[in-house]
Amino acid sequence: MAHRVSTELIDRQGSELQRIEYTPGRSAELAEELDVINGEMHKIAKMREFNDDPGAFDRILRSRVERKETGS
Amino acid sequence: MSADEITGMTLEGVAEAIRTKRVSSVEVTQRCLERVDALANKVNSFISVERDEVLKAAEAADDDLRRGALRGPLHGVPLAHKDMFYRKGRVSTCGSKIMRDHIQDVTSTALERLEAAGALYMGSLHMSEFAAGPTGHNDHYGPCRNPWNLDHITGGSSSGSGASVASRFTFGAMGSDTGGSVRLPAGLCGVVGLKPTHGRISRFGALPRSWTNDTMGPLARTVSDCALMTSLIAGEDPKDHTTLGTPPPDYVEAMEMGIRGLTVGVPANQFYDDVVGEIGAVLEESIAVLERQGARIVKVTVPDLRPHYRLGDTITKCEAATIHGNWIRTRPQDYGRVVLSRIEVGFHVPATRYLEAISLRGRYLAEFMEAVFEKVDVLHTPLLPVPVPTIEETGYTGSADVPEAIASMTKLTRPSSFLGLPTLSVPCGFSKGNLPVAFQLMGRPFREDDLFAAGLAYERATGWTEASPDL
Repeated sequence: MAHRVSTELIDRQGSELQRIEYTPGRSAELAEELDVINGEMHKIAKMREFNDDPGAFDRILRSRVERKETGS
Repeated sequence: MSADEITGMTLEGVAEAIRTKRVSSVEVTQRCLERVDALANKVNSFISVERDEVLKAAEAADDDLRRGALRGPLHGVPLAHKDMFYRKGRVSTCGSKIMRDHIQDVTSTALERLEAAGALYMGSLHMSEFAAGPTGHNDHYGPCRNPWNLDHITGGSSSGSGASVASRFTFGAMGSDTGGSVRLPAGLCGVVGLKPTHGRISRFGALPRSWTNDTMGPLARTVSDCALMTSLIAGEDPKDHTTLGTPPPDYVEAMEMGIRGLTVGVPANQFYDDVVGEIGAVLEESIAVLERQGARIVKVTVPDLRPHYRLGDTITKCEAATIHGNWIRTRPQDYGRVVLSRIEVGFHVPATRYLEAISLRGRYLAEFMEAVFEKVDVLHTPLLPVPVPTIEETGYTGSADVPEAIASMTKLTRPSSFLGLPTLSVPCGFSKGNLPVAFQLMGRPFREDDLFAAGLAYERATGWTEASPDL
């Protein structure tokens, strides 16, 4: 199956954007890995809404400091 | 007191023995150093030992005590820590070649607080290079070896911390946990380890791996010792803006509230998917023990863990690539192969993907809180679904399936890192090959006291934490 992320993309990003050169074998491995990450992230990110922001995590975490009584 | 009696004490026990002058700090330190000299090479758990400095510090601690000047609860106790907690004017190798000669210009808050409590610095412990690896392999310093069976891994990245506490070289040790790096070496070596809530313990002055997911936590022989160390280092730090302003409780006191009335959740899905029979049987018995001690056991359906793993891993890769960018560009040959391979893809993940992951973290935390912690106080889960693997099985061979095997080790530990939730690793027996098995207790944000209470009840009922390897 052809990867949507190509070895050529990794090579060009590496040399033109990141100033890193890879061996041909390593570029292929990175293309495969990035394809998995990007594909899964693409699916997960569909749930995002306008008001999801990076600060929400800390707000929610700290709002839960109080003990929630459960059980009998 | 014999050497074995001294090195076999708990952190609480040795601190009390020094405080009451049943043994001197110098004597304790000498016995620890002798044990390190005799056995540490077998497990390869130390990167450096500060023999002269720690003995001098022990003499000063004894002098202080003779004058009636008690520094704190750990007066004169020698400790050793993962070699990534900086000390001003000293080298912290971070398990790397890159930092081998780099002198740090700050001291970590965790070490400052332990020193203020009276603890001494005995040495720096083995770790996975740059805290990037769950096995304890290290291309520069060699693999750390499990003291229960030297052919097996310790878990990582706080490999030397787990091995040294289990080997009775040190009474406790600091580690760091970004995706399981305290819990795995603690559990695989048969000691207790805490990954605290994000913001409970300062990260200042410790090597970053992922600003978002990093936490610093103690490894110790018992739940009580772990609670004691946590009490001494937790709390607000102006040097780490993520720390919570609300003062932490005294965990040693709080854990005595007991387990009766606590609701312990057991996952009905996902966590046990890959758990093999012999591990499952040990875990099942641990749940029965908690129930007999008075916990209410409730099956709970947990949300899909796969996004937690993917989002957390994406964040760590992007942040690690940023942290290491300058050195990977200029000194790639000085990185170990596996470490480099775990970081490099971060250079190619689009910034929008990274921000998608960061911005969804709150949503996933809210979902997990509602699904799990609206119903239970503590969630009991497996740590590692299989018996502790060998060093050879998890070493880099160039074959494609090894990185997969390594990644699978953190499948059950990464979710609570991404969610920022406190999680305690507690030893609960042994596999057929006589290697430790452990469970995790995950809790509500900033409720480490619940974890210690449940862990302590379990520990008192079973005594697993008293077991020590025969080196």
